[in-house]
Amino acid sequence: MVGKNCFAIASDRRLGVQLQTVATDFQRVFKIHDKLYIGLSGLATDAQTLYQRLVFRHKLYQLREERDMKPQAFASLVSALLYEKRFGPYFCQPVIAGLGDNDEPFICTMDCIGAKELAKDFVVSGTASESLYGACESMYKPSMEPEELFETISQALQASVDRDCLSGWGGYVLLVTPTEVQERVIKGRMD
Amino acid sequence: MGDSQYSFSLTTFSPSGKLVQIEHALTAVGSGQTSLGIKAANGVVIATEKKLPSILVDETSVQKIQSLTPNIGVVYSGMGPDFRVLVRKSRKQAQQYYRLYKETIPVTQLVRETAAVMQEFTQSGGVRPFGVSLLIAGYDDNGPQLYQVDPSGSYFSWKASAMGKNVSNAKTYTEDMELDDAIHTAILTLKEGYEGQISANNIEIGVIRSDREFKVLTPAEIKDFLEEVEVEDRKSRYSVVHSSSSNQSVAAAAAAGVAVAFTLYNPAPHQKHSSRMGLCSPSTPRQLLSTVALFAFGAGLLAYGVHLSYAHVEPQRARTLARDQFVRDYLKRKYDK
Repeated sequence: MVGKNCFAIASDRRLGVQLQTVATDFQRVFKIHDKLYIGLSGLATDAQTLYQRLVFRHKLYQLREERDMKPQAFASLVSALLYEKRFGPYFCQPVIAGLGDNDEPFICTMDCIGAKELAKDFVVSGTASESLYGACESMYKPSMEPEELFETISQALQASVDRDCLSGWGGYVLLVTPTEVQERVIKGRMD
Repeated sequence: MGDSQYSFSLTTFSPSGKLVQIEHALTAVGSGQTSLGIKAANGVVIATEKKLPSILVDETSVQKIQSLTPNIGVVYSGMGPDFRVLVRKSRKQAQQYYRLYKETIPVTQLVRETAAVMQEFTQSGGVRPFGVSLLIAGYDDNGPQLYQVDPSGSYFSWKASAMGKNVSNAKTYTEDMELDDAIHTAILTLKEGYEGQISANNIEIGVIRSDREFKVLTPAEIKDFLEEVEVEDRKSRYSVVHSSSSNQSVAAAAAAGVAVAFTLYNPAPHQKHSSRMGLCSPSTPRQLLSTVALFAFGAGLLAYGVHLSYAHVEPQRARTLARDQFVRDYLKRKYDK
C-alpha cells in the first residue's frame, strides 16, 4: 500500500497445507535491497526458490552495474523469470514494493506467469485477496503519512484475514520511508 | 620471419608476451580511415571520413555511423564488414537487456557487452580477432559518454579520442566544451588529416545531445556546420594577423585605411601593413565594406587638407613674401651702412 513518499507491505504469518497449519511464524516478505521488498504468496517452496533466484540475479546486477535495481526494472525481471516457466509455473503470486528515483513509491503485483498489474494505491495477492480488495478499497486514502499508513494497512489486513480460513495467525508489516524501515509483528486472532 | 611460428594460432603468446594476431588487428585499425569522437559538456559528437574506393560509388549508400539504441551511436575505423557483425551483436544485446528490465541499456553495459564479444574472438578457435576499433557515444543517466573499444576487447572512456590514420592530429580538445564547439573541432580535425577537400558528402557526423536522441547528421546539416567552420576559421586567422597592431578587426581595418591615406607622408608603415594584409584570406562583405568606407574617409581627409592648403595659398604667400622682405630689409640695413 502506498503513502506519501512511503509504502507499507504486509502479510499474515500462517504456513499451512490445505487446512492443516504447519507454522505460525512464516516469513513471506523478503528484502531485495534497502528500498525494495517482495512478498511471495503461494506455495512456500516455490516462494523460497524464487526468492533465492531473485537475490542471485540482483546481486549479479549490483556487481555489474554498481547500483541497486530500480523497482520497475526489478518487476520486469521477476516477470521475465516467471514467464520462463510458462508451462510449469512457480505457484507464487508476487507483490513488489519499492522506492524508486526521488523516493517515488512503486507497487505492483503479478500472476504466477508474470503478467504485471500496476497500481497507484494498493495491490493484494493470496487466498484473502478478495476480502483484501474490499477492506483496502474502503480504508485507503491517498498520500497518507507513515503512521496513518501503518494503521490502515494493519486494519485492512486483520479485517480480511479474519474472513479467510486459510490465512491468519497474526500479521507482519514493513513500513518503508526514505530514511528508515520499521518492521512490526501484529497479533490478531491466534486460532 | 621471427613472428611466423607464433602468428599461426592467435591464442599462442610469443616469447615477448604478445599475441601477434591482435597486434596485426591493431595495425589494420591504424591504417583505416580516421574517425574521432569528442565529449562535450552537453553531449557527444562522433565523426569520420568516408573515403570511397571509386568516385562511381554512390556515397549515400555508405553509412559508417550507426545507432545501436535510440541513445547510443557507434563509429569505426578498420574493416567495414567486421563492424556490421559487431553492430548486429550489440543491437541484439541492447534489445535483450530491454526485454529483461524494460529499461534502456546503460552505455557502460553495452560497451562491456560489445567488448566481451571482441575479447571472445581473441580466444576462440576457428575465428580471427575483429579488425576494427569502435567509438561508442551515448547519453544516459550518467550523462554524456564516449568509449573506445579495441580488437583485444579492452575499452576506455575518453573525453576525446581519435583512431585510424593521422591519430596524432586529434589533440585540440579543451575542457568544458559546448557541443557546437566540439562539432567544429571535430570538423577542423578531420579537415587537417583529410587528403583533399572535405565536403558534406565525404564525412559523416553523429551527435547526441541531452535529449538523448542519437542523430546522424544529413549532408545538408553537415554543410551548415562546414560553412560555420569556414567563417570561424577566417575570422580567427584575420584576428591573428592583426593582433600585433590592434585587437579588433574593425580597428585593424581603420589603421589600414589611415595608413593608405597618409602614404605620401610616410610610406614605410603602409608597406608593412600591405605585406601583412597579403597573408589574409579574402574578407567578408562587412569587412570589405568597412575597409572601403575607411579608405574613402582617409582619402577625403587628404583631399580636404590639399584643398585647405590651396585655399590659404594667397595669405601664406603674402606672409612668406613679407618675411622675405623683412629679412632682406634687415640685411640691407645691417650691411649697407
